[in-house]
Amino acid sequence: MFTSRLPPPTKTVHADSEIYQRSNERIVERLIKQPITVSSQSVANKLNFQDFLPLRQRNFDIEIPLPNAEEIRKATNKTKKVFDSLLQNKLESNGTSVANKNHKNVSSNVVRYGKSGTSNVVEMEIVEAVQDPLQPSRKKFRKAVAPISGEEVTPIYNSSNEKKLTKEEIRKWNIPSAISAWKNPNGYTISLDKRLGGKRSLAPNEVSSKFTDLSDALELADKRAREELSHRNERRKLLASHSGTPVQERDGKRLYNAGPEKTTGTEHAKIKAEEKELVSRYGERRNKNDVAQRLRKLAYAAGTSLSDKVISGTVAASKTPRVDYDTRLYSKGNKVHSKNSEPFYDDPLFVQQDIENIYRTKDTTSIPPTSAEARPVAFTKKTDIDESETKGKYGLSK
Amino acid sequence: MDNYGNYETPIPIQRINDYYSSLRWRNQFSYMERLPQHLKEKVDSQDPVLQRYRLQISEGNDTTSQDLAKVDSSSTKINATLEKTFGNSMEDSILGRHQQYISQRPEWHAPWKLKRVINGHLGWVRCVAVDPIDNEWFVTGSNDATIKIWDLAKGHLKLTLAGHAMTVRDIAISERHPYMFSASEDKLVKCWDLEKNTAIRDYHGHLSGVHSVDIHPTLDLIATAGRDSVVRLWDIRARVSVMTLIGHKSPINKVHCLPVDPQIVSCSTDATIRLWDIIAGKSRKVLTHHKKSVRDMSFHPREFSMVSASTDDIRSWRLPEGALLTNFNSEKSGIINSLSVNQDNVLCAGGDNGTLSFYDYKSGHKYQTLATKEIPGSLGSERGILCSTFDQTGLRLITGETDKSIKIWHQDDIATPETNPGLPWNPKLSSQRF
Repeated sequence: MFTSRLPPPTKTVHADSEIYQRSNERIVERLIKQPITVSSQSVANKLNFQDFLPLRQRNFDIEIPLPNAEEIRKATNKTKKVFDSLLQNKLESNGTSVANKNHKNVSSNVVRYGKSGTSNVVEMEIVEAVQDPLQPSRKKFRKAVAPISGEEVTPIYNSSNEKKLTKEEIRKWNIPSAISAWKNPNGYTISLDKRLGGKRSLAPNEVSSKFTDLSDALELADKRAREELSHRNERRKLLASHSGTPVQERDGKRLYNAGPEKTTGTEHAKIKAEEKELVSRYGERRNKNDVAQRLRKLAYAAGTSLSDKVISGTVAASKTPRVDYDTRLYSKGNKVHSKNSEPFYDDPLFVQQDIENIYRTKDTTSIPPTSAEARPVAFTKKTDIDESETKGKYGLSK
Repeated sequence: MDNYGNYETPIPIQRINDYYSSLRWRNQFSYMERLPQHLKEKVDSQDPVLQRYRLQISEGNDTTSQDLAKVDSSSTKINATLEKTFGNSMEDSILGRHQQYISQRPEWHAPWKLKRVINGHLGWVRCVAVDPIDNEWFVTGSNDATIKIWDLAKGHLKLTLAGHAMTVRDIAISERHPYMFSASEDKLVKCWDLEKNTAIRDYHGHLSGVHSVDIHPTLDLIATAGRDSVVRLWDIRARVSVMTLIGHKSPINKVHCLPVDPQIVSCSTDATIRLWDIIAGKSRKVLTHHKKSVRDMSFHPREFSMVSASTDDIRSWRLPEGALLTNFNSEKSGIINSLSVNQDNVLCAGGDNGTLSFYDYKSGHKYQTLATKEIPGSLGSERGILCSTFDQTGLRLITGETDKSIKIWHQDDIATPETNPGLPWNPKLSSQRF
């Protein structure tokens, strides 16, 4: 709170209460009367009708010579002098010039205290403090238009009879600030009519006709494809009936014939016999267990024993994957790959490698166990030595 | 069918001309044929009765025979009557002045046409300046924050200067130094060394974007002005703002330096032009004739006058004092972004809607308007001429446009006043504004 803003005390009679009043009157006078009367008069005095009239209206060929060299030289010299001094001042105040001693003396100021006649006269020299030349300016620049100082009023020479906008017209031109439909931290509201107005031409719950067009087109394409397929099938059937036996039957026969022919010989007979034996022993043929059995047999014959763990690992490794897929799909993919330059990734990356055999268990059967550590660990009962130790240590007994 | 040829009797061109001129005269000035009632009474009261009667009779005769009268005779008659009635005061009347204006002929200029389109900038081409010494290259500054130097004859890109962070708004090339100055909206004015092709100095101090820069023709000063509505004068070497000229009330569009007083002229969006006295540090004269933002001004290379433009309003001024010289016939020309004058008294005004209008500088007669050629692929809204300049010879006009292109225009060589008379010299009374 500024005390100067407070009204003067009411009860005490001030010596300068009159001055207060007078100054107030003066302020009022300045605010109300002075500017209007003075400016209007001065403007009226300045206004000249001839300023409206273009000079070239009467004669297009008025000569307006460029300034001659003498005029230019004169003006240059005059301004150069002014600007040199201005620049000098600027550079000095910025601290960019060399601080010399003479200059310091000029700016210093000697002040004397005490009566001139008496002996106790104190002389003081006031010197401007040395400033860091690299210190940034302390002035704070604000983005504001600098005020015009002491400028005379100029008459306006245009007819600014443009209509003043009414409130309604201004409202028409008003563009409301954008409000996001997703993020609105300040909670601005959008009126319902504006919301509806902002939407596109489609009415709510109306689906674009393009969707139905698309589904129709898809249906048509599907229908055509089906027709073509059935047509092709019919043709194939027709061809098959012409040649005699049906194609599939014939192919199947050939495959059936080719299979057993390969595995003929003594080996085959041996295996068959073994199988028969196994079947007779266990009653039913179990795919998973017979390999394990065979392994056990082999180990027994060699005079060693195999742990269950090793056997199950070997069984898993030798297991063939189930073939439930159509192999034609793969062959098709390979063909495409060979034809086109672009690779056709329709199967896993390491399909050639037998992934299941990468982490194969070591073939322990070939190497006989040398030390006791390799053998299965047998758990034993606690010995008495342990008990005595604990007793001695803690002095506790059961 | 036989008598078809009989209808086609050749009418002499002279008669057609006469007919149309009389028609035009009647449409425009027939109201001036008679004096207004109150003036006539005044005049009549001065004459003796007999003379009054004669005058009436003669006027009556004239009206009957004036249908096919020549323009000159009728106008001189009116001139005479007006002079007779008002004497010396006739020059002060609107009609009298208009009569004088219309009786003169504007100079003929050949029409302009497009010569070359140069693409290369990635944004609006905001400013263009021509090499002042050799007239061999020109510089453009753009919204893409780059300055590009082009070969004037071939139209090849010679150099791209990057350094500004925002739009380059104005470029000034010095005649006395190997320097080029550029003003940008990033509040910086840069000094480029044209021998090393690098920016060597920055002038810090403007509080907002800088819109215009110019070099003092005789002193080592540059004047800059911009959105903070002050003109700053900088010492080129010291990089210190030596003087700040305060007075404009809104952003300044253009600033120009002259060798003699007024040494600085600036035009602003507050619709004023200020002529500054830089020795006193304040404005000498404020020109308030324009109604809207004065977007550009240009200085005649051969005479000491300038021309300024605001919306629908182009005026030229005699310079040391800033007296109105010409009101150009520029109504309905829309927003005018750029002006340029050459030594042959051709004024080119580039509009914000992409029209180029050419005026005779002395009479203010608009003799040609043409729309810019649109660049294929540009939008309809990208028709706007942002800057223009004549080269040193005044034979080529270079414009920078909103469709990111630079266009070079030249005059038609084979055109004659007979083949290309241009737009008719038909100024209206209202176009003179006063």
